[in-house]
Amino acid sequence: MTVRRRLRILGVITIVIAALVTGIWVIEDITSHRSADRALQRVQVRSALLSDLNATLGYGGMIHSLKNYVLRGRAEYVESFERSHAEAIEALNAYERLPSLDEQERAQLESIRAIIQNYAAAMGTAVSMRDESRSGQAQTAEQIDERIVVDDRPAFHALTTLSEQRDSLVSTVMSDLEGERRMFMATKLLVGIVGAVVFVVLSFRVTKPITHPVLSLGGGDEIPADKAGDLVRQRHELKAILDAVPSPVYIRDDQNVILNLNQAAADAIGLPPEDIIGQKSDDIVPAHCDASSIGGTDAADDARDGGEGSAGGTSAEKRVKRVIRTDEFPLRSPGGEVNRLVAISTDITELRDTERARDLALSRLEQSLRHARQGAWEWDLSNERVTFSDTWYTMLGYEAGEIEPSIGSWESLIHPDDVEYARSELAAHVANENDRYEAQMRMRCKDGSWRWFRAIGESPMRDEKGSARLISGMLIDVDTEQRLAEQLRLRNEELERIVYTASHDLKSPIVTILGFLEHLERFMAQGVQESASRCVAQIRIAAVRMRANVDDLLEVSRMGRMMINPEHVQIEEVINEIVGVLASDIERTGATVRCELDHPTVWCDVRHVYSLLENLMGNALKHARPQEPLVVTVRSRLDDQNMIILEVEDNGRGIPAEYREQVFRIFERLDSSSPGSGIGLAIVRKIILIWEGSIEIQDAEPGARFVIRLPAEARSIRAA
Amino acid sequence: MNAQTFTGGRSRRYLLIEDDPAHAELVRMAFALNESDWTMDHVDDGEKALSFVRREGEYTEAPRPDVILLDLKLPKLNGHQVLASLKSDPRTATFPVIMLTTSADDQDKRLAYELHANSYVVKPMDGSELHQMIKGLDEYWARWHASCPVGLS
Repeated sequence: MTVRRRLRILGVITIVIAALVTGIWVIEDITSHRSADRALQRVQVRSALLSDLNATLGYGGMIHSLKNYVLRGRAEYVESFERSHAEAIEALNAYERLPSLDEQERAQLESIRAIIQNYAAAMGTAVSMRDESRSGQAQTAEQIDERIVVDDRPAFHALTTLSEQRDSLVSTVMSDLEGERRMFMATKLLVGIVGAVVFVVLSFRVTKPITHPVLSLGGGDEIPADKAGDLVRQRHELKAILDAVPSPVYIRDDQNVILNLNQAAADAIGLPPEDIIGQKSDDIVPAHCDASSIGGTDAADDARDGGEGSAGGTSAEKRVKRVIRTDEFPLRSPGGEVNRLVAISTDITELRDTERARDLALSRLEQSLRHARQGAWEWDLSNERVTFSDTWYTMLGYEAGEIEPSIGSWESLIHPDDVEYARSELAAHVANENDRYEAQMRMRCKDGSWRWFRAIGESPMRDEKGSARLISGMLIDVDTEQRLAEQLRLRNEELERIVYTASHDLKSPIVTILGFLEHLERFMAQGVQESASRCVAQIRIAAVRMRANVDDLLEVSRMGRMMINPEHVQIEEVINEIVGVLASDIERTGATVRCELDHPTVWCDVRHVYSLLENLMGNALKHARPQEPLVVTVRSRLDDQNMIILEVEDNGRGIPAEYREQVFRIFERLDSSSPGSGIGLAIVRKIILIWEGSIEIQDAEPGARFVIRLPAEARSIRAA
Repeated sequence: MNAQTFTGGRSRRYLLIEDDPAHAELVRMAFALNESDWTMDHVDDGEKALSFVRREGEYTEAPRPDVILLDLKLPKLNGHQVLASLKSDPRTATFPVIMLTTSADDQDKRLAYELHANSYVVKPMDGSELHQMIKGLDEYWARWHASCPVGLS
């Protein structure tokens, strides 16, 4: 045998050995994989059975059905109990048939079986007690509950232990698999290297893809093991977040079945969350809680808009009607359909009470403002929004909200003589020139009359430049005060004028009398009879004049003091009477008196109307132009501000504009040559003052026109 | 001519603006008791007074007064208005104006002096007092007139 041949033989032997070794390893590799697969399948079967046991026994299963039956006594719960019971026994039997069951597992399964039997017995007791209660012996849910206490802790302990054993089995299988895999890789590497170096290796690997081990989380979803921990942690965190929310939050489907909920929702219902999940929300009626307090959108107390439901609930402890607002958010599933709702309930009882208290306070404020004849207003300059209180409107005779609230519409109601002042005062306040806005103004009421108001306002907010951002204030009806003040002012003026006039016009005749007395004595001493007689005549004239002045003063004074008797005075009747009294003057001057009475009456005292017209008509007769037939026209009409206009017009000499104020002063006369003492127009003005009217003199071209305005209806008239 | 003229001799020419005829008569009689040279023109309302001084309307021939005696209470334009017109017109601003009135009212006095009245005299209630007052007044203006260079008066 040559060396070459020996080498060949050696090579063949090596190949055979290598092939043998490789074949054995490959075979062993395949068998070990199979055993791992079997172990994995065992784990999966255990998981499925454990899950079944959990479901049939626990939440939604036997225990749950029993509790529901105790609480409500419906037959359907007995049926579902029996179904769960059968399934539980089946799962238990299947578990016991597992080949690789150890002693500990068997013990746990036994304790679960005992509990299942206890529950079955409890169900029997509950059914019979329910029957008793139907036959008359009332057995409350609480009484039944007391009798059928089942200690289910061992069962859950057993389930937990079995789960833990399964889990440890899982990790054992996993580490076994991992070790085998590593060994197999190393072998393949070795064989590969040997074959490549020495021979062409005709070896091949028989393998199959390694499936990642999966964990069942009970829900049937398969989640890779490396992500499962994260998901579980996140789930716990989310649950913690939701449970921390004080408002009840839950998810329900379109069948009204509650799918999940937080602790606050469970607390509101009064059952553990496990007892609520899977129930129709209408069925969950805790002993002390109205069903509508959760999810009910139909129980209405304060219906709110915006898709919010509100519900009334009753708290047993306080017997306070709770108001629950539930906001529901439709939930879109990954499939795109909207079949679930997230509901958040909020107890708005306190909010509602606060709102009611606020509304009550506001209405009381409105009432107070009405009594005080005050209106509130607010002007937000940032958005030009103006608000007026209801009383703001009613004070002016409008319905609340009848006028668009704005500064412009306010100004449109202000008297033309006051609007500029009111506007500039407001502008000064806006510009921070005045700390406080205050303006007195006449405003037009809906009926056309003018009333005095005082507007006040302050700015609680100003911008960095000091300009007002918001002004709020009051509008106060000061009409009565203002009219009284105006009357007082006019009467004081009148009084001062009379005192002043008295100091001149009553003194003047005395100066005359005393002066001529001096001369009279002198002339008598000298025996100059003619001059003495002239002095006596002057003294007499002065004395007569003085008596007339005193009478006139008394007349004016009497006009203010006399008791007045307001009535609808027929103007024409008064004119006829005056024409009769002035007949001789009318005849002498050849005057014509015309009446154009569009409004037949005036609200006044008949003696005052007489005095007014007699003085004005008498004046007209005194001031005729030469060679011109005098025409005196009396007119009456009602204007759009509810004032009666009385006019006395003549075509005489007229009154120059510069003297139209002073002719009304007592003892003032324009023409010392014409008769009269300067009292007539003073009396006219006094009457106008009493009736809160006005009088002015206009050009009649030619002649003078006296225009009197008197309120058509009575206000409270006060004697001067 | 609407203005009345009383003559008591030559020289001092007074213009009396007074609406009460009895008072005008008393003033005239008081002057008449003085044995001196004086002339008096009289008008009875404010408008006539201004026309007289300005020689307007019916008074184009009116003499120029040396002294004006002005009542306060007058028809149409009152004494204060007449005074304001006289003193604001350069042609008449230098005319001496003596207010002669029954009013002792402080406000009337203050306003008169504010309007540059040269004097303010309250008409005495007593007749002899009025006589004494007029006498003193006339003597003053007689002395002033005598000492005054021609053309000022």
